[in-house]
Amino acid sequence: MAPRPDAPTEVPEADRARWRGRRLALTVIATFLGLQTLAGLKLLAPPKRMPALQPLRVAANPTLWPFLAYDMYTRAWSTGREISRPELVGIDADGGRHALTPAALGLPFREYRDEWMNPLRGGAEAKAAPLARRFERQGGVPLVELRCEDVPAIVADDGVRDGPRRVGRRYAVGEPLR
Amino acid sequence: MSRLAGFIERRFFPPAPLRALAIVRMLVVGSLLFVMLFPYALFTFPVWGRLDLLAALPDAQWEPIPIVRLLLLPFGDGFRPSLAAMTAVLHASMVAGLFALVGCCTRTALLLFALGNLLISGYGYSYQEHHHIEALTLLALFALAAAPAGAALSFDGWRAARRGRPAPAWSDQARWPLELLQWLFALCYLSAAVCKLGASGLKWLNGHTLQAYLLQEGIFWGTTSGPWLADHHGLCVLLSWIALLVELLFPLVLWRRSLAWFFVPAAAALHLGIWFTMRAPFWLYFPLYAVFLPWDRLLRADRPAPGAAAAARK
Repeated sequence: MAPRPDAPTEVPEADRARWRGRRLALTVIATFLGLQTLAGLKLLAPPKRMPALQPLRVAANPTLWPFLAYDMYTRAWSTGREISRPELVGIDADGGRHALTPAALGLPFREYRDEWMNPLRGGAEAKAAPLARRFERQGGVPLVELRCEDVPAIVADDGVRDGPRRVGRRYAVGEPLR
Repeated sequence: MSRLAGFIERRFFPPAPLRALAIVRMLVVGSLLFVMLFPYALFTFPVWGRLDLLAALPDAQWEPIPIVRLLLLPFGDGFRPSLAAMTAVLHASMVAGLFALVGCCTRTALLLFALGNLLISGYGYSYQEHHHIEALTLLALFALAAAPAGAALSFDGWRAARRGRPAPAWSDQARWPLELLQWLFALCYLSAAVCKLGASGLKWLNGHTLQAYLLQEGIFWGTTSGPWLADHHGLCVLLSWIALLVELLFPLVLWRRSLAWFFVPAAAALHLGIWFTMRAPFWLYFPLYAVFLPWDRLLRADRPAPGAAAAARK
């Protein structure tokens, strides 16, 4: 006997699983593309310079993270932009200047920056004498003073120019300052 | 509507080799596991190696981002997990990652690996600073968890074959995660270009902008290549144009597949250059670029005979 046309048909389990997989896939695709479009094109984060649109600013980075606007390094700069270029300088008893670079101190750059230069720039006096001793141990001359200086790098049409040298904190190390 | 349905069917659900999905699974999971195990090998400020530093920050700096608030809601709104709890999540995620890598209980393992990393990275970005380096990888993990990424090159696949129920070599569920990631890549690069043009217009291309960023990051990270490049204004103008055009035009790979042979290496070269000069570590993108490979051609030998295609779908 032939089945009636309106009789319920049995859907094989494999087909049901396949359609479940398809529904899940479509949900993921629509959600991910929708949220990344909203976040990436800043559709919910109009720029602050447009006051009339501020009520729409409901999802600036990182509200929708991991859906993000990739807005790194977006600001434009012109000539004359100054970037701080800190240096550590040692002064010996004769007034000679010695650059205390990571290489001269036998330090990896990050350790030099995070453990020595930044604390010294921030006033960590206790770090000055040990750094001067380290310089000596690495083959440098004995120092009497340690200075935090800054030679800003200035963006120019013909490349980069050095700005005026600025002397910041000064620390007496070993012998007293003359 | 039917045209849209047809487009989606053609782009996201054509039969494709399950081994491609498995290879991408192993690349994505393997690379993330590597950076979890050796966080400072490739990254400058890896969250996986800084949980103790983050946990030591004062409560005043704790501003959980929405997804973290949501994940931690069962413990109370605004809950800040302890270092011990985050370390446990890290270790549990690594175990889940190992299972996902070898394809054992793959879907569950991928989902747990994705959720664990979502919480760990989100935790790191809940202290008023965020980065972009692993967002795409996290989305890739969730997409893979929703697909049969463990059907091939896996313990699950081997076990199914031993029970006499081997997975077909090709499936209409194998393509969509790779296609989705291509679209996400395109949207991310487009976002980078749109954000630059939106914030600064064509002034961003003046060369001085790139000089300033090369100096800023080069000096901060102690690179010699950044300040050297910044000293060559003409080169900076040229590189600004190249960077913006690659980002803006990257979505063309969705229109013509063969353009991926130009745009993917170009984008990879951009990231390499950015690493050498500015130390921005987009290393996790490199294994993800595998989604652009022409897997259908590379794994042609897997393709079932025409008559077997319908049977494979059963």
